[in-house]
Amino acid sequence: MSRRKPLTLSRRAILAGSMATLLSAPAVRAQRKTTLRFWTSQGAPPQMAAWKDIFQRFEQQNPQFTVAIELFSDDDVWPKLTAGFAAHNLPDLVSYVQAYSVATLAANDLLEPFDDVVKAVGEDDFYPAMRDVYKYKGHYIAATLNNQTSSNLWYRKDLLSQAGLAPPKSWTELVDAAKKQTKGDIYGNSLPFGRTSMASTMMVNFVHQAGGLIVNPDGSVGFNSPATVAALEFLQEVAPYAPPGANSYSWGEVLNSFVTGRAAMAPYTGRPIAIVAAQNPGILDSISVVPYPFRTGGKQTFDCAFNSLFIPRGAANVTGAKLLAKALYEKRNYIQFLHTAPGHNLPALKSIAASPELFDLPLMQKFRPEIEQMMVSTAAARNLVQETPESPYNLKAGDIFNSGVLAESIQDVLINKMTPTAAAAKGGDKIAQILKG
Amino acid sequence: MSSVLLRRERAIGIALLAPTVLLFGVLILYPMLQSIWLSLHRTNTLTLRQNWAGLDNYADLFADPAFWRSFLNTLIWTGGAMSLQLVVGVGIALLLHGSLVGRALARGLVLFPYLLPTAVAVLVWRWLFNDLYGFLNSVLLRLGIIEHPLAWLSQMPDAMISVILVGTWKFFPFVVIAVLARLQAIPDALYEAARIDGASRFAMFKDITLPQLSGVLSIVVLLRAIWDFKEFDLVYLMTGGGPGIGTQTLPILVYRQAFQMLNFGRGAAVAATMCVFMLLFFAIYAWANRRLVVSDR
Repeated sequence: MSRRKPLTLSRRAILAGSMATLLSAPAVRAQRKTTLRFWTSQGAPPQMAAWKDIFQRFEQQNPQFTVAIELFSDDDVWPKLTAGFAAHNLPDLVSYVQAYSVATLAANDLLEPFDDVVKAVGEDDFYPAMRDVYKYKGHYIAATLNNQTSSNLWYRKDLLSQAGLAPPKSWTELVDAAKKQTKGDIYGNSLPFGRTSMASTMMVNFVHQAGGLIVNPDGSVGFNSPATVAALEFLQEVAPYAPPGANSYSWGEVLNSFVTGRAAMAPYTGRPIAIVAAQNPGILDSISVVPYPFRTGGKQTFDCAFNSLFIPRGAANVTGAKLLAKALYEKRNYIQFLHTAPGHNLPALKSIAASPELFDLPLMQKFRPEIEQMMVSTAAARNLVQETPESPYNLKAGDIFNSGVLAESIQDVLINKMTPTAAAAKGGDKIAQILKG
Repeated sequence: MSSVLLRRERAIGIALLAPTVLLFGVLILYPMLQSIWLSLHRTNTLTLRQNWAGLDNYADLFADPAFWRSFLNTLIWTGGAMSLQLVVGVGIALLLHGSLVGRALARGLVLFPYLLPTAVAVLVWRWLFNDLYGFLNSVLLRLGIIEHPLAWLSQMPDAMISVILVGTWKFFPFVVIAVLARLQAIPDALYEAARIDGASRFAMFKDITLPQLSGVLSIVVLLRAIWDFKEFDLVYLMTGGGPGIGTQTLPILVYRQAFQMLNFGRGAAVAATMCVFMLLFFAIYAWANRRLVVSDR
């Protein structure tokens, strides 16, 4: 008997519990909120604080939703997205994926139309390049959330004046400045020569600056050209004045070498402003930036990532995702997030760029001329998905970029000691295969 | 009556075997067959849309110099890391088996690298190897051994050597644990008898310790070879396969094909080929090991 008693009680408890659950289910359903899953690669503490603030306001205005932030890194976006698509377990809104990757998604018809969002924010308010980079077959497939070009040259005013030089404007002047500033434990310039996304990004722009293209507007391969050879020759000339580990450098290493004062010049977005202020304030007054020098006889060009905002096809709550997307462009939210990386995150909207609140931060004030100059460069930037206004939308841009062929051509010259002509030809063949495949 | 019993026994046998067979089927056989099936298709990683490719993925792979270079890199990495792990692991196990001040503490500390998450270990090592601020360069510069910092992870063969050294540091404790356990089981009487016969320390190691360790070492070699052959995270995090494809091993190639080039079929073909290579090596190893044991007898 004593053994059976607890079992009887337990049955009663289960029955009572089940009844209570059944009776209360409609009330629970009424109170249940829909969770919007938001993916971002921007998870540094100030950015997380801003996201939480912004989403709290969104949840107050839209009490039917809660927002869950899920972080990814640039390197694991594909494994995460592919797993999501395979398992039909997708985020509602994805931010900060670069334009060439969005092209791959578009090529596979994996994006929800984004026209509603772009139109609600204001088509004309977007800088044209930042808006049109996501226009495919007459529809918007994503929108640029914010943007930055890395086609800038950060330099040290003190070191440059010690060398008796002005900021370089051409590749020839850049090589000369790098050579003259390489002294003791300081390297004249830092560049990414690794098989990395920064090297690929820079290579696209080097080819453009030399007057060439990766893919011609008619869809043929443009990479195997005298312009590419000139770009590789320039890298060959400037490499001796870069840190010894540059053969594996990417974003982090290039930034570190400049911020810590071990490299006199480096290409980068506006990120050094905040990082130098926080980690090496002693050189803050000495740093400045100019548009990245270009080949004499070539042209001044800028390359941008066009950090996107999109809804993957199959997302559970498209309506909620669109509401959230629109909220991210609201002035207060937008500026709050831009301020998490002063000078690095630049606005995609003209109204925000013109807003006095954008510069309502001491660092933004201090570097206002530099930031305004970077905003002009960014607005004029292009990307591998559409290298010229005449170029069709390049759905293979992501495949070209992710294959590593662009960075490989640099490594072929600097590590494998191939001639620039041979490296350009090899790269051209590989791109042709990708375009065909 | 007996046939009923027989049937019942057979049913019980099947029932007892079923969970094992089911688990084997679900966890090993199905993924393996699925992987081979994938390798025979052109499969888009994003959409999982498939087109029959037959052996095209394999043909493309074998015609690609990058595949053979990755294969060679995998052999160099596996051979280098495993050999050093054995040498260091056996050496330290012998040291810890002897009388040593603070032996208990040392036995605990020796496990540290093995317990450390790979990502953390790699972060620390990358910092030590850093070209501009690395401890190694700093020490060598101060000692006047080098005039300029070395790019440990950005030039060949330094990058491969560095990865092998870090792999050795990370995984040698496994060898230590296995060998130390076996050392403690060798009867002291054997050494006592050898000492009475006037055997030198080296002779005792060669004729007693080593033969006694052969069983455990063959298992250690087998396991470490499998684990090193398919090691991904340590190599990828240390060098990303660079400079160029100087340290790109086959698992990195699988990752690149499947998740960077979004070509699941090609990635699966590399993985299936890896599996065949491993089976081949271990068949040869098992055969050689068996011959060694027979000749010892």
